[in-house]
Amino acid sequence: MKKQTLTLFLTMLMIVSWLGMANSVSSVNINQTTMKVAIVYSTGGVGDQSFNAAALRGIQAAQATYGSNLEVVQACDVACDYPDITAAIESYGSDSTIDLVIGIGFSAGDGIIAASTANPSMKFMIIDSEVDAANVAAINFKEQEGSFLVGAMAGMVTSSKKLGFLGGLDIPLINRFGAGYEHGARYMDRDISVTVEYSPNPDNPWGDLDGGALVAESMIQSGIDIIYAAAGGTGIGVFNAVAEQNAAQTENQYYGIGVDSDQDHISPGNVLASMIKKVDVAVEGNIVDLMESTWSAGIVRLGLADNGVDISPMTYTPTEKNAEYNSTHTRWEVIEGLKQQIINGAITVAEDFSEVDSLLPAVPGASSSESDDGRIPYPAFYAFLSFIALVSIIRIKKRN
Amino acid sequence: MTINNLKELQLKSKLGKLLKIPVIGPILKLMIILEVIVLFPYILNIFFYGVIYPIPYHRQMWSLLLSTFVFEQTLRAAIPILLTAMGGTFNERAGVINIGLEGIMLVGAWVGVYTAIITGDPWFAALMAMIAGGILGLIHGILSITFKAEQITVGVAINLFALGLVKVLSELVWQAQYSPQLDPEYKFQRLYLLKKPILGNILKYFTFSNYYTVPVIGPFLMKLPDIVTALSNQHILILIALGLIPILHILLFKTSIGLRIRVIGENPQAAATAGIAVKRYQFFAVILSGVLAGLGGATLSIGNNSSFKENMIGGRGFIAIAALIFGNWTIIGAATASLFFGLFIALNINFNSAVDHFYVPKPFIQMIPYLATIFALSGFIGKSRPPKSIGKPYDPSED
Repeated sequence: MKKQTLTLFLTMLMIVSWLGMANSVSSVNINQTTMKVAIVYSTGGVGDQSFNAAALRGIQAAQATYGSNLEVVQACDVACDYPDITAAIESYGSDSTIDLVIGIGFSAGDGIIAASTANPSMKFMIIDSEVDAANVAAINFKEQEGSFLVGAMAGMVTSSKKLGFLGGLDIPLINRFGAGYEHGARYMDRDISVTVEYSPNPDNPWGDLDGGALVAESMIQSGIDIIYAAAGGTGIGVFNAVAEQNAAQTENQYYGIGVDSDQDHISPGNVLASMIKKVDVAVEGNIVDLMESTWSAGIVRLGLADNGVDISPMTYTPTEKNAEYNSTHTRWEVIEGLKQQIINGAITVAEDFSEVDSLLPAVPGASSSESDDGRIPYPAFYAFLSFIALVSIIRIKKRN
Repeated sequence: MTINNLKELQLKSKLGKLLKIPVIGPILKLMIILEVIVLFPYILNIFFYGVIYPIPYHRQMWSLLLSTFVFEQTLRAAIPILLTAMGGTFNERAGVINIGLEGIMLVGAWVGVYTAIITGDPWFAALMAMIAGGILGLIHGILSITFKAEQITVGVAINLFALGLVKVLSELVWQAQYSPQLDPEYKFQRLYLLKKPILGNILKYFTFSNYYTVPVIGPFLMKLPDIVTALSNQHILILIALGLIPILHILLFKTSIGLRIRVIGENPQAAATAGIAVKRYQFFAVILSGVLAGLGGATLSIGNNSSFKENMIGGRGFIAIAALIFGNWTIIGAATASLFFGLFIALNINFNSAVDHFYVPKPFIQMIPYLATIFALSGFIGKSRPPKSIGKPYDPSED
């Protein structure tokens, strides 16, 4: 009797516990569990009005959607240094209560690589860095496609047919901006020339206001009227120089072009347009993927088709935006058309300066004769060297 | 072979004799220096690209070096460094090392922009930047002169303090790492004196471009930088800084105040014995240095530019220290060295567009002035001698 009661009791306990387990499993499927996301901002902090600010917008949008189901912890929201970023990512990466660690910008690269190898079960996301690992979603952008649009706009606006590009450093990431810009401008008008310069102080490529202003002056001196600056804070120096030139004279109108976020408001009327990288869309999309359990690792490139890059709405330069390009279309309609063509795949945008010429439609009769490279032929150089050696030997012998 | 032997040999040679001729000598010296500046990048280019034809290279390079535009940009790039270096010279001549110039410039730049946004008056903004720099100089003085703290440590502390302060203040005031752009009227605008009604007509007679059509000297003048045009296109702070060079030189080397400062830097005990109030003069020098560094920062933010960004100084304060060492602790030397450094900033920007087949990476061009500083310090170019008691806090109880 006693034994039977005990068996019955145990069986009931087992059934109840199974039911309980089944119940808890089903509750996962119906209601979302609370997810915890950690975000580590890049060096500038959320006050950079650029990348980090956009990432914060993405986080806020995701929080508005999921409310209390999404818990966010953040580090480096006030400016911090490179080692701090790495340390913050590593400490979040080893914290088992966190589901996803987000790093912004390539300054997070080392931290993400170290933390993702140390914690293979943790999920990581990084913006603007090609980290190839099984648990890292590396979100990159097709900057060339957005730059193509601002380049096309610049190509329609310019009156001197000379454009300038100021990059921060001579690296493939920055050259994608420049190549798209040159492609876009020369797509509109084959005769446009694009001068490429890089930040004059490589120690401080993203914050050298005065260097940017000096480069812009030098470009304006040589007849360039629109300068696209893909150089962070150095680009603000370009806007300063452009604003100064516009205030000093009225014959020519000079423009800067902003980058990464909508920078048109920084110098109203002096910034023609901006190439926007939608970091907020990328961050929000990744969190949504995590919440809906569709998250996957791998390197992704977001282009115009994925709403990853775009041209700013040109709030402060409406006359240039709505000017007539030809009898049927305004400039903005042309840009909209180009956007569709890129999304359709009708236009492939150059990723490097060397690709621009081959991707432009061929011009009949244009001779592609390579000019001389300016090098002295090596035999001549060696002959010259041996001549100097001979003369000096003779002189030394005479002296003795 | 010692350096003295080398000098004797130099003086005995034909070139040495030529360099001693009154007018031609200095011009020849300048040309030799410029030719070294031209040749060094050529040699670097051999490693990065190949041996290019020297004659077109020389033609392009010399026309770049002597162009009005490069001269204009040299002044613009050099003046913040020049002001700071001149102040630093006073500081070091009084026996106090000031590594904190970078931080003082940063605070000066911030205060300049902030005041200009609030009041709309660039003159008042420049004054406030100078006062802010003076206060930081005073803090440096109190710590290193009154409390005899290690001067380098105090300087580093001031740099870190300034960086943190500026970040916090920017976040508080603008909620961003950089300021909004100033209205053109709120900053020191370029003067364009040649376009002014009466003054322009007078100044026109001093520009080279007015004489380009004169038969013999016209084509010659066309090749030279047009100094008056370049000066008249600058904003007023640049002209003020250039005017300060002779004033500060006279103050340091021709007045009793300057003499006392220099004596204190050499031997403070002897100066005290002679009845000089050592600490008072040291304070004067440190505060003057802070004021000038603050003005240098303001020149960057409300003169050359019209906004502030937290890393906009980017080492210019340290370049100023290098310049004053390169200038052998004299005002004229520091000014010349600053202009030399500014020339390289300007050249670095214009090399690629002006010279064909030139592919030397920018860091290599940039390092040339610093290499020159190292050579100057190690005694290859002239003799460099710091003040004797530099870096040692003055203690009246020691004898």
